[in-house]
Formats: sequence, structure tokens, C-alpha cells
Amino acid sequence: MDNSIFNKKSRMSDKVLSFLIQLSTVISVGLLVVIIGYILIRGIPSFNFGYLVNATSVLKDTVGILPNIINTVYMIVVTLLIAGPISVGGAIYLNEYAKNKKFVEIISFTTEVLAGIPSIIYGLFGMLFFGNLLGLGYSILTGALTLAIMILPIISRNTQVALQAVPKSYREAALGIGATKWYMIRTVLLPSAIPGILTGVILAMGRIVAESAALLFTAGSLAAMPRGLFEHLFSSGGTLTIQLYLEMAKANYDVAFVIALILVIVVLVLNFLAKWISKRFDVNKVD
Amino acid sequence: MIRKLFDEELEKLNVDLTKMGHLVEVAIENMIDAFKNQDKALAKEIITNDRLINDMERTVESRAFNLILRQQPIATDLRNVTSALKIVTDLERIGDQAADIAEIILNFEGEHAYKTVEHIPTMAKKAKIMVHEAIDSFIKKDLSTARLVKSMDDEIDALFKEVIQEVTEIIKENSERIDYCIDFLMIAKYLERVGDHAVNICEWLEFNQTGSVNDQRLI
Amino acid sequence: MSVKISSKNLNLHYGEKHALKDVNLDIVENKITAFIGPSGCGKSTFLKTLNRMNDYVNNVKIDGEITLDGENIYDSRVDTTVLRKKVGMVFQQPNPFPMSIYDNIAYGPRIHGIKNKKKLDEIVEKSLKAAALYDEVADRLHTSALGLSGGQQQRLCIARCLAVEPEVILLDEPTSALDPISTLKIEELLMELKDKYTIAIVTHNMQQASRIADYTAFFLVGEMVEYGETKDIFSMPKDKRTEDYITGRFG
Repeated sequence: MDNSIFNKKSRMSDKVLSFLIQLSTVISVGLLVVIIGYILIRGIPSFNFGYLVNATSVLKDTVGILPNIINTVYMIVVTLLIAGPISVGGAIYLNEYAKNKKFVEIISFTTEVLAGIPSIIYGLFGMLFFGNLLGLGYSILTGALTLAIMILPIISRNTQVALQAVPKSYREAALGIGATKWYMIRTVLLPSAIPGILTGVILAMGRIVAESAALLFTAGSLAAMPRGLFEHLFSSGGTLTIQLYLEMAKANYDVAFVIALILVIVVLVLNFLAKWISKRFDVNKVD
Repeated sequence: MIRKLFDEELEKLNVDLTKMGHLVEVAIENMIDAFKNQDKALAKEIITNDRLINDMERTVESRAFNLILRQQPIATDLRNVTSALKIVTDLERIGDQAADIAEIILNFEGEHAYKTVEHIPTMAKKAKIMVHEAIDSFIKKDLSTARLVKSMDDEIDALFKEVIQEVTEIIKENSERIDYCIDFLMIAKYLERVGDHAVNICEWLEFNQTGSVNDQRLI
Repeated sequence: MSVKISSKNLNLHYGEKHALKDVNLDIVENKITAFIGPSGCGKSTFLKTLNRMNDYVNNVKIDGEITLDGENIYDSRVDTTVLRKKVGMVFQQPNPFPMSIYDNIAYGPRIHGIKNKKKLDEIVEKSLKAAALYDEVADRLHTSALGLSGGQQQRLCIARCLAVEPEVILLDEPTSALDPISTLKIEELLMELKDKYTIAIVTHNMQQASRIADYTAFFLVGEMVEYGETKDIFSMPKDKRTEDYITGRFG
């Protein structure tokens, strides 16, 4: 009966591997749960709605992180305004217009290297170039310009991948009917690539929110309420992450955990948003 | 070479067609011998063998239909298959004429057409040559021989007219011989038809090679 | 019988590769011309030269000329947008845009500046009717075109091509991805369309060429071996290579 199909054997190697795989899953999910749980446990008891609407002021005797929240929003918006068009435009150029393969390869390689550089080096460069050389000093703008360079590869890479995923047949169809290249890109490629681009943007937002090292020497750590919409750009402003760092340095663990709580929530929301957007804006789905 | 199966089927079709041509030639030769020698046993054999020819016709038709159905032949292939389909009909008809004459020979009592009517032996010889050359030219795809066969048709037609003349004379001399005379005429008519079918075979060869019959484009 | 497109001593190189060699061929107005030949013989490449879709391929060099109504389409003064409005193209894989059926058809007219909603409605309806698709999609014009079956998608692509009122329609193996019934529908459609348009079609399906084409050209390794009336090519090809190819004796 050696030839029968009823010869199920249990193989030891399969069992060991299967156990290891399950263990890895438990560890990675477990770590996330533990960290989030720990932050929730430490953060929620200290949470006070007042933190969200006040600035820390000795005079008024208030403790709050409102300026940091505002600074973070500033940082996100300004950075994306600078980096978004450049990286999307660059990706379109590389993918659709650049004829010289060698050139595209060099650029892509450079972009990847750019993505792997430690952020403190961006901070150093930003401080010296934007801060000192261009005279922008410690300001939100200096920080945003620095971060823009940092997130350029993220959005650009995602846009390129999204553009590459658009079938060649769409391009042929549009060009074949008389569309100019730019019309084709605008009406067919970009709508198809939107989910990918937005995913890149949201990942970049996560990076901005999380960044500390590159901002410490560029945007500074001031936590003051803005005096004007545009003036604020040129003043120093610490984001939530910077503030978290400062609070930890001062051993203000209660405030630190509240900030951590907010950051974790923001990051989670951004991640879910990324998922939702890539589904919602997927033109290729049929409903 | 791809399409091995297709070529094998085409080859079988050709072999069957050649075999059938051979059977028909034998039938015509036997018929003339039986006619010449009043050989009733041979006449019987011709009639029996005609069934073989009829069966061959069905075999070739079936092969051709199946080739069309399964292979959708085009160009040379299409002309080969369709001309085979057309030619088997003529071959089968030639076989029928031989059997018809054999039938008359079987029932002969008394006078001998082969000896009485001078032009009938000549007609028979001509018909035999035409059938042989037509079948041969088709197998060899030899258009020039086929043209010769076509020109011979006029000769056999002329001979037929001579036979009618002769038979009319015989009837005028002695109206009691009219029974035999009808047989004589029938035989002459059958031989003339054999010539027509031989010409048809040559025309289908022309189609096979050029796609046209008598300069009229068919395909 | 007048010549719509004429190719004179056309040579095309992809880098080192000589992909089309001295092609001379006239495409007759209001007729269907089929290009047949084994893969890589240059028939699709030739089709693409007819509305300059090869412009987007790197390292392509074209010599000789192709005239549309007597005008060289490779002249430096040619506006490819206008050329492609006159000479439309339908591809092998049905490639509707990921948009609604309506927007797919309106895409071309919008390129050429038609913005009026009523006018667009008319064009969409007319084009879908001409492509024998209107009845099947009339109640879901604003749903995604990607929800259509393969055969419907291909007819949509033909409708999209018709919407810009072309004079010539080029089809690159339009039915190779379709089932037999959809294929027959497209073939019937092409037979109807040839009254108004000049049609050139690349096909691997010999029966298809013999069913619908008035003229057939046979290509082999970049050479146009034989060109003539379809019934001549399929009954009495003059060149041995044509005979060998169409009867499957090739290779």
C-alpha cells in the first residue's frame, strides 16, 4: 500500500517552521499592542482637555500643547506644499518624459540613497543652508524646507510606482485618439495613479509628524502661539515630537505621555486614512 | 513541417483517387474486350466491379468532406480537395457507362455491333485512350496532355455522328434489325458520354492548377 | 476606387533591427485591408506607422513616406493630434479608460474641444449605436466601463474611436482576446463600418482575414511579400511563401 494516497505523514520540519512563523506574528503584533497599550495606560489618566486648548504659560499658570499642535499642522502643510508638486512633477518627468534610461537610473538611485540618509544629517544641512546661508534662521520655513527634501523620495517613489502600474494600454488608447502627452497624463494617468500618490503623501505626513532630529536644529523648539498667519512661518516652532523630547528631558512624564498619546492616535488615523483613500479613489475598481 | 496530419489525410485522398482511376481504366478495358469477344462472363465481372467503383466514390467524398470540415483547406489545398470531389463523380459515371454497355453485352442475342458497325470499334478505342490519358494527366498534373484529351472529344463526337449515319443505313436496308440497332446506338451514346466525362476530368485538372475552367475564374 | 493611404519605400529601423523593408502598399478607401503574417513579421509595426504611434518608441528611424490623401504624414508640419483624429486606432487588448462608459466615448471629442453637454450626449449615443453597443449599455452609461465584458469593451473602444469621426480606423488584432461570438460581432460591425470608413486590420486569424477583408497583405520578416485581393491571396497566392504560410506549412 506504499502507493496509496492515504499516507499522510507529519513532517517535523514543517511543524518547526510553522511554529516559528506563528511566533514571529505574535511578537510583531504583540509589540504593537504592548506599546500602544502602555501609552494609553500612561497617557489617558494624565489627559486633560485643557492641554489641547492652552499654551504653557507661567503668567496664566496654564500647561498646554496647543502651539505645538499648530506648529505640527504648519509643518505638515508647508512641507507638503513644497515637496508635493516637486516630487509628483519629478516622478512624472522621470516616468513619462525622460528618454535617457541611464539618467533615470542615476536619479532613481540618488533618490533611494536620499531616503536612507539619517535625518540628523538633513538637520545639519538644513540649518547650514536654509538657516545660515539663506538667512532663514530657526523657523518653521527652514524646518519645512528641510523636511521637504527628506520626504521628496517618499512621494516621488510612490508616484513613480503608481504611474508604472498604469497599463500601457491606457496611454496607447489616449495617444491613439489624438490626446497630447500632457492631456493624457492629466486625464488618464494621474487619476489612475491618485491612490498611489496619496498613499505616498500620507506616509510622508507620518514621517513629518514623527521627525525630531532634523527639526531640532532647523525649526527650533519654541512653543508660542502664532502672531500672524505668515509671520509664523518665519518664527521658530517646535512640533509635538520636539515638545515630547523636551518634556522627557525635563522628566515631565505626564505631559510627555499625553503628547505620545496624541501622536499615536494621529499616526493610526493617518494609516487608516491611507488605506481608505487608496480604496476610495481607485478608479480601476468596478462597483 | 507542421500540419503532418493534414498532409497525411491529403495523401490518403490522393491514393484513393488514383486507385479509383485505376479501377475505372480496368473497367473500360474489360468492357472493350468483352464487347469485342462477346464475353458474357467478363461482362458480368464488370457489372460486379462497378460496385467497387461506387464504394470508392463514397470513400473519396467522405475523406474530402471531412478534410473541409476539420481543416478548412485554402489555396492549393482547397483546389486539391474540391477537384477530387468533382472528379470522383466523373470517374463514377465512366464506370457506370462501362457497366451499362456490359449490361447490353449480357443481353446480346444474334448480331454483333462490334463487327457490324464500322465506327464503333474506333469510338471504343478513342474512349479508352481518352480515359487513360485523362486519369494519367490528372495524377501527373500534366496540363498539356489534358488539352490533347479535350481536343479528342471533337473526334469522338464526329465518330458518334458517323455511327448514327451507319445505323440509319442499316435500318433503311432492313427494318427487322431495328432491335439490334437501338442497342448499337445506345452503346455509341455511352461511349460518347465516356469521352465527355474524360473531358470533365481534364477540366478539373485545369481548375486544380489554375483556379479556372475554360478561362473562367472559379475561385 | 481611390487610394486613401499610400506607403512608398517605407523603411523602419528599431536601433539596429531593420523592421520594415521597402514597403510599398496602397490602402483603398472604404475597403477593409488585412495584414497577415507570423509574429514579428512587421505587420503591427507597419499598422502603427500609419498614425505615427511609433513616435513613442525609442530609437525608431523611419525613411520613405506614408501619404494620407496625398499628404505625407511624416512631414514636419504634421500635427499628430489632427492626424490621429483622422486615423484612429483600436488595440489588441480592449483598453477602455477607468472611467464611465460615457466619459470613455466623450474623451476624444473633449480633446478636440467639444464641451457642450448636449452635443456630447449626441456623439456618445451616435457612436455607441454605430458600434452596435448602445442597446446593451443605454441604461448604465455612467457606470464604469471596466464592468463590461471583453467583447463589449472592445466595441466600446471602437465606439470611442468613432466618436472623433475618423476617416481611417486601424485595428491591431482586435479580436484575439475575444470569444468566437464577440469576434463575429466585431467582424459584422467592421463590415458595416467600411461603407463610411477605410479600415486596416492586423490579424493572426487567417479565416478572419478571408471573411472580412477586401484586400490582404502578407508580411514576412519585415518584407511585404504579397498584396492583392483577398480572394486571390487565399485561393491562388502568387508567392510560394504566402502559400506556405496560409496553408500552415510554415517553419
